[in-house]
Amino acid sequence: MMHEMQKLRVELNRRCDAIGREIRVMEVCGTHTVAAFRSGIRSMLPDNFRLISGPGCPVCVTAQRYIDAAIDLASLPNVIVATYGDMLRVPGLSGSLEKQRAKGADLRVVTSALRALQIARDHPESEVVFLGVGFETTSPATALTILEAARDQVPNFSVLVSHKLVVPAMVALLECDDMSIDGFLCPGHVSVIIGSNAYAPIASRFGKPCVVGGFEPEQILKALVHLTRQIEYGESYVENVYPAVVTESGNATAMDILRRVFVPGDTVWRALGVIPMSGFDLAPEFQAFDALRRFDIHVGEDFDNPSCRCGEVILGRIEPCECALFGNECTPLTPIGPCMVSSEGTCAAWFKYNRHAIAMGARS
Amino acid sequence: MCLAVPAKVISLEGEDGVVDLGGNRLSVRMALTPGIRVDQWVLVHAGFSIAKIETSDALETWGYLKACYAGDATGLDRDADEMVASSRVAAEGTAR
Amino acid sequence: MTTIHSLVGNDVSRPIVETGVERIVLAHGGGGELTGQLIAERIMPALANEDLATLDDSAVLPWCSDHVVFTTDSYVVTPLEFPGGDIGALAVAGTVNDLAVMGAEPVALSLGLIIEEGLPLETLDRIVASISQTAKRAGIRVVTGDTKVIERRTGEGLFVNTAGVGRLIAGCRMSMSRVTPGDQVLVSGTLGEHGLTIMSVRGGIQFDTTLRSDVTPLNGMIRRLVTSGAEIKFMRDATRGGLAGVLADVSERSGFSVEIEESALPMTIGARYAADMLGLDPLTIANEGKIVCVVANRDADAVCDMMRACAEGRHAAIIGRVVDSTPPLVELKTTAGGARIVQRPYGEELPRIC
Ligand code: SF4
Repeated sequence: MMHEMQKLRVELNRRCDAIGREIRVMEVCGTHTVAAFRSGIRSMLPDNFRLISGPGCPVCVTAQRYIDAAIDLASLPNVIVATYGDMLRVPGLSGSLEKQRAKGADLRVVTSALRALQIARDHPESEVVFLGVGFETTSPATALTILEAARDQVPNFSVLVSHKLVVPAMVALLECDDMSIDGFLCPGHVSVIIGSNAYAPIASRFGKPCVVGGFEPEQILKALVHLTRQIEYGESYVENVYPAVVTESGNATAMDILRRVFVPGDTVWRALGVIPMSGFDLAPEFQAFDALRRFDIHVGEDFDNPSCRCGEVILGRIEPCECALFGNECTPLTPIGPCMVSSEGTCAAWFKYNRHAIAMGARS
Repeated sequence: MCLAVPAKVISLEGEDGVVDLGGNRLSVRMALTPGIRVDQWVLVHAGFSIAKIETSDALETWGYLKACYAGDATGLDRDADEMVASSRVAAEGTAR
Repeated sequence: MTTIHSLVGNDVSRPIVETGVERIVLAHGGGGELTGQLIAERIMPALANEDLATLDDSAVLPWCSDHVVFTTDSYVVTPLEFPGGDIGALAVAGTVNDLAVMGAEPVALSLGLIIEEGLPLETLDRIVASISQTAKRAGIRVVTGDTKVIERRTGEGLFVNTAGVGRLIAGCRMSMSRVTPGDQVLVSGTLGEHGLTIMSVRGGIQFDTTLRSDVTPLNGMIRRLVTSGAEIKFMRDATRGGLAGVLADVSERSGFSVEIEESALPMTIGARYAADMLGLDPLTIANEGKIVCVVANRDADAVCDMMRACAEGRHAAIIGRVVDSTPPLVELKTTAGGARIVQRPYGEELPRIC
């Protein structure tokens, strides 16, 4: 295994040398961001290889107005809000869900949407709202849970839907004029659902190499090697180096269920704004499960702190340390922007694993 | 953006299954991997199986993780099994 | 509190300044950065004295010709009982270990029980039995105590406070200031089992597991180590905040860096997988029966062998070393051949799906 790692490192170095100029590859997925830091992959990249973290952290790109709506829901009497642990500390306009819990909100951390539905069954006297966030990997879970709630007629269960789609966001990034990206490390687990073919337009229309990779150190390195190979030869096509679980066409059952329960719609991404057809709304027959309708919650506006440069971080225009607030006002303890609050947010990952990168570089 | 782990299917009852990850057992909804059978491997995300895995691939990931920590070197596997046994006994003992 | 400096968009129907009271959040109790902040900003200023200021696990007080070591800790774990232990075992072992890692022989414990109205008496009985059993194992007696009952909230609540005194073992003085480059870093066994076990029995998260809490008094093993003549410079139990928390303390307070090897970290497959499944970093997960030791280079192997000779330390390992480099930080050499920084966790560790 180590031997294989070594071979991949040598090949990556050789190809990066051959290319010569700076290579900018975006890892779309936040789990790749964290895995690359945790396993130390980032520390072994050639000098002219820049790994840019894209908009692939569902927490980071969840609009503030959604967090505010979630907090509003959590402060209603007799409402239990069930959420993945990821969402607890995301700052809204007036605090976070964690702070709302300190004020008395009934907030439950769950590891599956089905657990939220179970809470609803166990507490028929309360309303249970599940926060449906995440990309295509996660949205089938929400969809199936809604189908089950409909089948079993669980009257006190609803979902605040903020699911997002990856490919439209990648297209939106590429349509910004000043985007200089040489290729994409495509999200392995999203691709399990949507299939590697989903990136074909990006490779053909925009001429960007797309490589689907796994999350173990060796799998990441392998994907990066394949990307640099395409870049070196000036090619652009979709490669799948995570064939253990990713197919060309994805998980047909999951895609069917998504089409049944949701309809694509325009969605606001934090720091990126509205991206056409990049999110999901509930299909008409399931709108009874829409928490916003059920509780008549008004979704407000976004008030982003103007000094927070999350948008540029997510777009790969700047590195977190170029933000004046990074590590000063903005730390995981006092996150200003969403990129700092999510553990897989780019700013948080930098703060956690890389804060002293420069000092370490000087040392070695 | 999505943590998912490989796990082995231990039992199935309709669409509900139990999977094992190194001694941790999780109830998982199998609806997204129709036709899955006991002893096969799946990728699990947020309480759902989202893909079937060919066994050799799963074992490769497993093997890699194993090498990550010193388990092999210090004989932890054997002791972990012992711990498994003793905790099962303990659990049975306290079951009322 | 936070003021939003300007507006994007024109809808001003929502308040733009957050007013109101700052409140304690659960993460304040997580043993991470936030806990540190709470203590430094709100507790130390009011109570500071030189014994408290060291923020060690126990205070060492001069007492006739001996030194008395004194500590207190509160336990609020839910659920009260979990595989491998319960709140009673935690309260005894935790306080005993806090004394022991200072190089003390535990002498006596106090026990404060704050019980919620509605707690089933048989639960209380089991926990008190476990307190007695754990104390026996540690060779310590509960010599004073107090019981209060508070109004019903969940009907399942019990909080325990234990204070402990110990006698400093002659010639023993653990101190971060003795840590120097070249020292070796040891851990007494496998990591993460307590925290992961607790997660496995929490509502919303539950999973069946062969993991069990590692809660156990370590004073027997520690006594052997500190009376062996080996040059042990610093010792701490890696509870909340995990290994990462202790090592961050070592580097911050000694002014040196700590370098650890991922491949040397003892961990069971079960814990490794449970951590992966929940998206947690095993280094930041709580242990209740593991110590981290900083030992002079020449004695490191001997100390490791002594630990391995004890049941509680049979998976002990040398995991890294203290190095002279600035700024002081903790660096992990990964199995994949890279490096990364290890930092103290933020607070409450939450399972993630992302
Ligand atoms: S460091 Fe903080 S303020 Fe700056 S871009 Fe990142 S999240 Fe925003």
